[in-house]
Amino acid sequence: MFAGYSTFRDVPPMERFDRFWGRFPSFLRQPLARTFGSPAPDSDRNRKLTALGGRDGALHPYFLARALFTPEQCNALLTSSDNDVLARASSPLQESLRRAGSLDAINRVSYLEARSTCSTPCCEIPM
Amino acid sequence: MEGIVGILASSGSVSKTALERATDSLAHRGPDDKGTVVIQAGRSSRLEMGVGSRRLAVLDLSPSGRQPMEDAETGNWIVYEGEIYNFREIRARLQGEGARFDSQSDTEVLLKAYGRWGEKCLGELRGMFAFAIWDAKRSRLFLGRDPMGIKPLYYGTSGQYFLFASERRTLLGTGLVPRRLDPAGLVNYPNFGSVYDPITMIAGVSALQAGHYMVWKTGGSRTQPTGTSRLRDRAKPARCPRCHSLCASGHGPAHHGRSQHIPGRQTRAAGMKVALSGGWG
Repeated sequence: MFAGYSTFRDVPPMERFDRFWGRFPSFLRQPLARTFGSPAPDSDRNRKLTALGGRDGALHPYFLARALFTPEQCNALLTSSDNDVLARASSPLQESLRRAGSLDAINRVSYLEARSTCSTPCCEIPM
Repeated sequence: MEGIVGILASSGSVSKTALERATDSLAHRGPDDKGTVVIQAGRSSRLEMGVGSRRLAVLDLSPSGRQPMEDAETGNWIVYEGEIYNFREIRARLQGEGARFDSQSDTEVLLKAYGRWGEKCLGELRGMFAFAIWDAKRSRLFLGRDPMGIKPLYYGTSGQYFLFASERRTLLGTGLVPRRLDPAGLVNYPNFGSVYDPITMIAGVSALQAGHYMVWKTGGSRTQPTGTSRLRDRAKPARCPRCHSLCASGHGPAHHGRSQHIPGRQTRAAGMKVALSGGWG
């Protein structure tokens, strides 16, 4: 149904890269990601790829592909937010991932797309 | 689409003005009919419950499909939004068990199914739905939502009130829910463009998650998965039988789903039209 969306093309390769990259020791991932990412042009795509390389399981590739801000930018934007709020905000994402974990890569994206579009789509104007 | 709302007062009474106003706020979801009722919900307690519905008549266009609907056998009440595609099969089964029906609507089928099978009725439903049933015998409120979360259902607690509705602004419109932002919703929305259930932008208001039901009783509530949303069981094969690839051409839904699903959705008494938008190759 949603197969024309870019997430279907982008997320499965990102998952494969994530699995490959996960074989490197965690203390090497971030510096390596920064090293490879620094000469790249300053774009959202490259920022997200750098974030994917440097991450420690903080955000699944689907949510990274969909997010407007990288985790680093989020932390900079939300300095006043406490950890409980961030944990509560991410718990439904983790729950969706857990439920989608048994699916293949394409159906996983399909399920996560459905979860995103069926969730609260936008602010309503209060009466 | 229809709209439903409910205000349950665990002590004291339900304001009819607030209930009417909340129901009217859903007029855009259901232009065909409106109904409200206040139920003296507990025999010995001081529970009072008000429910309202705005109806978009799709099945059984007659007044016998009106909501809120009462089951004369059990005293249960229902407000319901959605469409149950296999309601005729369920109806036949219930008739086989001795159930009698006064309408041709899927609302009554759901009400009778709950009366006979309790929460297990959710496992029998195929369709898109969000509903609330007041269980008179057990003095409890039962809320349910379809496995994919197509139909919305929000709820919240404020003081002695428990409220639910198809839209968040309806809950705010009752004047019973404080207008406070939920910071967790505020984190999700700008980043992902949506707020993931059960979180909403309003503190104290939650979305009933897809494929879950909730039971409210005096003293507390519990939310559980229905058990009908096991994804692996429901997922269609990702490989297309025509081109044998993980194709994005749209062959998959057309090949796998047409014979089973389209006839199942042709249950409406109202006329049906189709408009397509997309890029199937």
